[in-house]
Amino acid sequence: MENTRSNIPSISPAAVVVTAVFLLVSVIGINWFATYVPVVLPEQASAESKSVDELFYILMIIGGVVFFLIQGMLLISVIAFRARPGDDSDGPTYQGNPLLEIVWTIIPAMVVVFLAVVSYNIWTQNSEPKASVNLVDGSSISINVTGARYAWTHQYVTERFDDNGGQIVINSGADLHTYIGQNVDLTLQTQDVIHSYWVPAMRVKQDLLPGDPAQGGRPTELRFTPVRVEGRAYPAEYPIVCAELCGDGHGRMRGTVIVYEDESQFLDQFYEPAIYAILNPPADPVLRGEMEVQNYICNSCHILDSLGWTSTTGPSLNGIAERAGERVPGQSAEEYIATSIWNSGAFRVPGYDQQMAAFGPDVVEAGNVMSPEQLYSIVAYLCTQGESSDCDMENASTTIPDAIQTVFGYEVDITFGMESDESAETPDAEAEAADESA
Amino acid sequence: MAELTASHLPAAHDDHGHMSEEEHNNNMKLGVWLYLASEIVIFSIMIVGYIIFRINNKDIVAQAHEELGVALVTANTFVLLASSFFMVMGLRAMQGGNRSGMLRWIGLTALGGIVFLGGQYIEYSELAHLGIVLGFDTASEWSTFGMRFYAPTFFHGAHVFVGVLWALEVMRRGARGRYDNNPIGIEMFGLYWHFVDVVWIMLFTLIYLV
Amino acid sequence: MATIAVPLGAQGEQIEAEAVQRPALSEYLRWSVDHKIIGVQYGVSAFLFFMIGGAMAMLIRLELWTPELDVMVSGAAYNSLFTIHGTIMIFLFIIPMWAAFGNFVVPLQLGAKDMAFPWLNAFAFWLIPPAAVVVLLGYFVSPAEAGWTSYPPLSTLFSGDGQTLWALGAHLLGISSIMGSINFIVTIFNMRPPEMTIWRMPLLCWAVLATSIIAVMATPFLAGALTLLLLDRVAGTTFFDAAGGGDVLLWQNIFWFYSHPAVYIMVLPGMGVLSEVLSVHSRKPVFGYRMVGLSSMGIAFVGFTVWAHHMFTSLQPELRIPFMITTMIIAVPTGIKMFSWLGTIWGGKIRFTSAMLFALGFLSLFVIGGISGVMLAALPFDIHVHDTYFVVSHFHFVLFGGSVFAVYAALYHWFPKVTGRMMNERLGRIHFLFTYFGFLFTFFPMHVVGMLGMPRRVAVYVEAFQPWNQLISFSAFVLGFSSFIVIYNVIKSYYHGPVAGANPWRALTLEWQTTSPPPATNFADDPIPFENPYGYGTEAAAAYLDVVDEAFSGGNGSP
Repeated sequence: MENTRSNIPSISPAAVVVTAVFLLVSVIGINWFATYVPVVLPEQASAESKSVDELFYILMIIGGVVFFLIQGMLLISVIAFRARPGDDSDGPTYQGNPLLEIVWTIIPAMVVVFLAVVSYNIWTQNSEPKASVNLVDGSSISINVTGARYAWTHQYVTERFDDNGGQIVINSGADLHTYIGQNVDLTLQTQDVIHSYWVPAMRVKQDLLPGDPAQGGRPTELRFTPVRVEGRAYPAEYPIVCAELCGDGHGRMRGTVIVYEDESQFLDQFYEPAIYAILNPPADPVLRGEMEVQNYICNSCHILDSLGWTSTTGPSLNGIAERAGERVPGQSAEEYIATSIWNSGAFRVPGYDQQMAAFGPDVVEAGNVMSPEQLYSIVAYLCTQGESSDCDMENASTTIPDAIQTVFGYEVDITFGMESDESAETPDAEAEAADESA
Repeated sequence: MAELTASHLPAAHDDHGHMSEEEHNNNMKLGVWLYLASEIVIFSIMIVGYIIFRINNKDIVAQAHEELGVALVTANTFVLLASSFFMVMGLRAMQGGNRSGMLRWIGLTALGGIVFLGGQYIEYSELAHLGIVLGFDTASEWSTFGMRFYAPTFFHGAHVFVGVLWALEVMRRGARGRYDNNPIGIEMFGLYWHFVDVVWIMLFTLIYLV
Repeated sequence: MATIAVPLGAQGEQIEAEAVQRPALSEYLRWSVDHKIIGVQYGVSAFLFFMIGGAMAMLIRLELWTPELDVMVSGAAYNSLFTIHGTIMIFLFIIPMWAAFGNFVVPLQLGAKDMAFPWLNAFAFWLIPPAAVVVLLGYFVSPAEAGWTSYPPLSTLFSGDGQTLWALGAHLLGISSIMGSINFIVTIFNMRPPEMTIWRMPLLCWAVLATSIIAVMATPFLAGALTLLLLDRVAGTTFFDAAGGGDVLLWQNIFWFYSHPAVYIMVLPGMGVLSEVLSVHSRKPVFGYRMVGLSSMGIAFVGFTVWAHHMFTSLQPELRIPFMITTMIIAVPTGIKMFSWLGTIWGGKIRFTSAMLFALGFLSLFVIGGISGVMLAALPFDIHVHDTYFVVSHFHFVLFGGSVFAVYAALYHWFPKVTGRMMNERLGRIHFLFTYFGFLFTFFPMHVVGMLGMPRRVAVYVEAFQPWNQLISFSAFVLGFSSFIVIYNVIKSYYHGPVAGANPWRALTLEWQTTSPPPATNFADDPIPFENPYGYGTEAAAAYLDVVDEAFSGGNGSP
């Protein structure tokens, strides 16, 4: 037997051909990968998305080289170094090559350092604080996002004030409204478990962490800047997704980012009409209630056919007006509904073990704050849900405020919305107002 | 051409499947050390949890120090330290071939453990009277201290309890002459008992003194 | 002039004649302290759990066939399904499966007569059935629905009582894993015969050693975290409840401090298997043996410093960069292994046995998992794909394309040693084709849906992803079917397979230098390892193997 210790494997012509073909395929393959970047990633709707995709592109090229190198070597080995039939001999005794081992330690290490530097640069560039954030009408406002099982709510704390000097807060439900070039800076808070606010088109994601409500929770921040996407009609919509498992309805917990073409479109189509609607609520409490109830996260748990709510986590609200009076002996329908919303732990509908969050003026969670007037109108609206009503709808404007007074000791000002017609800034937007805030 | 020798080594162990005494002892030592290493991790989670709490809640801890007092727990610590000494004496007695001496010393060790547990019980019931309980209770000013205090101390107490049982088992086996030739079992119990002791010194320093 | 010592006992003949008897099947159903019996017990029960977990995966894919919630009664039922799927696959399949091969093979490879603590070994195994009952009972009572990661407050304040049972079961399994690992470390350090020096140890032993060190150091973190979780759930404490002064990130930190190293617990033994199989079946020494052994230790060490990359979207932003860097560093020792394996087969005489096919499949799939791993380490990109199907794809490439392929390679490789019979190679090849392509088309498209915007752990999704999901589900069913082929093959080969003989692969490691199956004491006499466990191609090795062949020829090794 020959001493095979020095027998370095020879390469067959077949292997050379395969190598050549393979190198060709890899070059084509890497290019093919690169063309796929826009196909496998959503639209680039933010400034951040551009640099993140650039990083993806770099990772794809380096990954592609590694992929084709290793698969290529595998393929060549499988073809060139297969044992021929009847060949029972061993391969060469080739124990290793220190130089080669050093090379394939150093090169990956260098590649990794390169990737770390590139990632670090992109990260610092994207997370750099912007000079002016949430610029609306010349001032920076705060935009608060609340996550609760299983809905998002967005709040715009505006720099406008109502007649009593109260700061106007726009509640836009599951929709985030923004415009191209606005440096969005969201403050995220959760009411229950961990959620994760993800806008795939913006390539941003941030978890919402539960904190001690007594100490103002544990707000986290998310920043991005929408940019123009060629060929898109504006206002453009992009999905918001919950990326952290939060329970039964995790998959349903979605929202929409609405990007307007510029600030004036944003003001005309969203901001001013919304403020107008707040300053000029419908005089009819039922109509106002219908509008108000959709600004809260009630739809995340309840069924209500007239508004198209479908979630089965909590008891159905269909026909609530027919049943409310019989729930608790000695309590009127109005009192029952008001209590259920505000002091939500007071009763539990049989068969439902989870407790609803509380909604009222003294609630800590920003998204659940509800003035006595809002509560009044929502109760009035719910009192109309059913064939018949246990509520005293004839005298709703006195019985419901009375109920709220009895239960919570709050006075309800039922004159809301009656007097402020002239304070509207965009009177022509009145018609759109109802649609926008719905 | 390589030279072939089919070796016929004399069998090192005639009793196939059984380990030599030395092998057995080495295995036991390494095994118990590894076990204690993993125990250290669990204790350190609880200790680190307590330290973080302490840094953030100086007031509650200061107040707790006043309430806790160190008299009882110092006596308890002393008992545990003494039992570690009894343990060493027990092992030494067995190494000297003195079986009944070993039984006496290990018996004292177990007794030390039992006294310690009794002291801990008295302390717990006093604290419960003060309203320091394990669970979170919004009404109590101690609401967040209790769990951080009880988790490590109770977990340690459970180890002492296991140690007492082990000591009794060592005595039972020792009485039957199991350790006459090879006291490794006592040595292993000793390792464990010293470990429990050291952990207590750490807890004592951290929770009661500092 | 090499002097070759061959493990031939004076009374060798006689003992082998006794040893050719396979243990009766009933032996496997009762308490036994023989590491070979325990190994099979681990293996068969782990495979059973693999089938249960796999059936759950099929249900998951069935649910995802449409964007609506239709198969399961509620989102919560779906959540508990993947929670238990993950728990079973990790704690009841992969980790015990490596304990199976570790138990059977490692003492034999070392030349030891048994594990260091035979009784503890059996005890660690018998903790698994009760733990499994507890976990599964939880599923049928009031299921845990917080995922296998069990993030509070979802797991503490919302999930059903099954979560408590889940935590108890996981606790028991953790204890079992610690016991098993202590046993492996002591066995590897203390039970080697004098000739088996540390640098002569087969690479599976190196990998099991690294794995066991990780398990002993990391599993207690899980035990600690689960203890606190249990206290929060049943004793009213608030370690993880912000409203009571607790911190939800405390759980994430402790949990991942265990669970990231646990990924290496799941894959390092597979890498050890790969070194064995690639070397034996390409008849060539492992390229850079020392570096491969040391890189296991390197991975084990660096693996402890990367945990927070699982928390990139919840961690304080300034802490994210250091974890990105440590995570990327892991690519270096992994790369060393990858290239060393390629160097091993390069220029060899590759035999396309089923074991070799699965090992090659591992190489080709694991590299994809490695690349996506580096992509996930790159923080800005991870922010986009964190908690999406991209991640699901990544860890299946590592844990299925990696670990499960290695399990199959190990099965085909050591089945002859365990049972004395060869597996059917034709069925093995069919099995490989179904598994490889089923796997590839199940998990590769998941990268794409993840990047496009599909989060993980959802039962409902937007309609645009339906074609992708149908492709994934269809391939998953193919993949699910493939496991029946191997079950059929195992049963058929156990009874009717050709007799294997002592050393069917002509391998140099010690487990092959005894009868198949080995006698109760493993070796007729003290075995003497060949100077190099992978020294193929030398004259000395050929001579050594010839002597061994001769010693065990003549009907020995037949059951």
